[in-house]
Amino acid sequence: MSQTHPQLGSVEGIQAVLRERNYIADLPMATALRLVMALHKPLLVEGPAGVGKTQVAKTLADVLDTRLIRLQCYEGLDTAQALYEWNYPKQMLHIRLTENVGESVAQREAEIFSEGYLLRRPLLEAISQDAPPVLLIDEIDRADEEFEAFLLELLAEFQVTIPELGTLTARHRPYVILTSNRSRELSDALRRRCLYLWQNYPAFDKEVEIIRVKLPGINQRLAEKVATVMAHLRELPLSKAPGVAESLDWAQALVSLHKESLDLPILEQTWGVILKDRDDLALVEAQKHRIAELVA
Amino acid sequence: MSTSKDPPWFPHGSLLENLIAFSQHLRRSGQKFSVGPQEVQDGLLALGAIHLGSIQEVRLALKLVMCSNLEQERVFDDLFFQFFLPSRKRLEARPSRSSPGGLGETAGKSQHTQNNPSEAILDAHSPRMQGQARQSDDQNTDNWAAPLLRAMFSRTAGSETLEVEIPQQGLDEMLRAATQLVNQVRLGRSRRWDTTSKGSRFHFRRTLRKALHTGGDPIYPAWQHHPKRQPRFVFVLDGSRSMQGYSDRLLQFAFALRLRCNRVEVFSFSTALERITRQLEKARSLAERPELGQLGQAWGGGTKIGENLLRLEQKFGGLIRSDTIVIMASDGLDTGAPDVLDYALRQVYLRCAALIWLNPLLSTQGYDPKANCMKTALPYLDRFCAASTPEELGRLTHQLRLRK
Repeated sequence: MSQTHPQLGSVEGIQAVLRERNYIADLPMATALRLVMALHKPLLVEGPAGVGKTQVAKTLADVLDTRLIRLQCYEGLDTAQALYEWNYPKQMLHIRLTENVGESVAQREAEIFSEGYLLRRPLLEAISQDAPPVLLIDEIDRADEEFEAFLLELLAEFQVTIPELGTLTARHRPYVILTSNRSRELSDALRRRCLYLWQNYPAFDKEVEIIRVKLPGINQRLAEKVATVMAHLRELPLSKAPGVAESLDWAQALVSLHKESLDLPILEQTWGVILKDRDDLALVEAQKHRIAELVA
Repeated sequence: MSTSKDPPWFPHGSLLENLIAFSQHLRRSGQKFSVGPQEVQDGLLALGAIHLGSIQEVRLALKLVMCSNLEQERVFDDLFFQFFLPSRKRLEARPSRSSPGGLGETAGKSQHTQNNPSEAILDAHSPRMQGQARQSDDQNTDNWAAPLLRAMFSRTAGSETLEVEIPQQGLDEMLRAATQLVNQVRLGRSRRWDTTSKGSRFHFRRTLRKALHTGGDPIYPAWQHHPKRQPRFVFVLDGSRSMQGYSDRLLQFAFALRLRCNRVEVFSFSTALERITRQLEKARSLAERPELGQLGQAWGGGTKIGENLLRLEQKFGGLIRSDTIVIMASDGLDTGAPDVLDYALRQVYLRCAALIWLNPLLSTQGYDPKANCMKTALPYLDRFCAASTPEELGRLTHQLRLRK
């Protein structure tokens, strides 16, 4: 892959390429992506919501000019939704249509359990591609422990076993990125198969840079003030701390309202863009004068 | 044997020798790094993929390969520099401009404490509120007050050298109690589909399989249904000195609960909070009791309930979900700030399915929950009980009404 993208052969090169795609990657993230490509190991990214965990997979697919295959995890996710399912109505129809053809049971079984009757779900899709895709397994902590155990074979060997068809091995190993918000502890077995990266809220300078890159129309001073307020809010015991996505939404809202600076009335008018909980609003309201002083 | 390509700061000869020695160094640390030959091999490959002359890249690459959770990630840098550059202080990449009050990637701890309003609130409250706590708790004095006095003399210090052990005696009874408790919880249905003889959804795959034996005619239909949801528990144990005499049995119960149910998280606190689930889950049977070792300030010192509950809510908030039953085991003899406790309890209450408070003092004759802490907590509790015997612990969730 580094032959088609010479810059991807070094950590600095990856940072530069991602930046061209408006993704500001720090050194740990760029190193992680370098190792994902070099070692072909899955990357487990943990961190609070809204710090850009999902975005990195999208950007990587963009950089590699390959397909992004996304599996959104939730409680109750099973192999039928994640891996494959047989097309039962089509199979039933085939059985009916071939009733009087005179084929043996074994022949008929082989026909209806062939690839033509297979519905490929994201995981199977990911290992069947001609070019290595980016497989994003999003919010793995939301899936059940049973599903996590099932993933082990896929992540270690990049192969899956379908009883009717046998073991299918990946033609090209996908670049796998798993994300987790730590709503539950993942198993050690899964962790050992992955590279591990903790992604925290961005530091002040990085957040300013992100805002400026994503919203070229914003002035430096306003971007700094937005980052200052967000950093302060994240220190408060909020039930839903605002992430980078909220910073961008807020900055976008301020630009749309033609605001060049921040003051108390503007803060009060736009809290709703970044705070999504009544208790959080009450807590921040109590501190609004202090926050206004911060950006004065 | 060192090669010309190896960086000069490699202390043990070749790259491989250094990696093996470093993996041993990690394993000897208290963070249970599971670093074996596979990780060493991955480490070698990783170092081959980066610029070996840059210590930052080497550190980050080895961190990605050898850490597998946040706790390990947090101590890795110190261990790395301890091993490779023992004479130098940690080289932390500081930002050119510090975050003004931000909990950013590189915010140092001192800065964090300095600029963290919630920490500031906690700090500002402590002396005054500790005084208040003394006064208010003393109002409700009886024979149960002795532990409180013990706690007050050591508000901030945990018994850092105290070895915590789970008693073996009575573990069978505790296991039965834990089984009873888990089985009594009535949650709704999961979103998963399970195969069953009677259900609400037709199971095409199974029916088709069966139909092959009857010439393609689906004579024996198969069905699917949603199984019952498994409950989740967060067990928060007050291990302070005032709980001496109760905490061992409650810890034993937490261990039994962890053995019986996978979805259990256990925390211990005294003046600091410690997650002990990982230590407990190392033992998968009665025969092998887990080694808890020293829990530092999370065991045997003073009591700061509100502050630790707030830390739990902020740091491990994701563990408290709409299907989680939070069990708080504490005597409520708190030396922390009541308004912090009120805020923390409110946050936990809003997130969880039920909040249960086990107070062993409740079984003491003449005890009345008039202490500030208990008065603050009572409005948020779905169940408030003593539960000092295995039978009572087993009935903790009996007819418990879940709010979600």
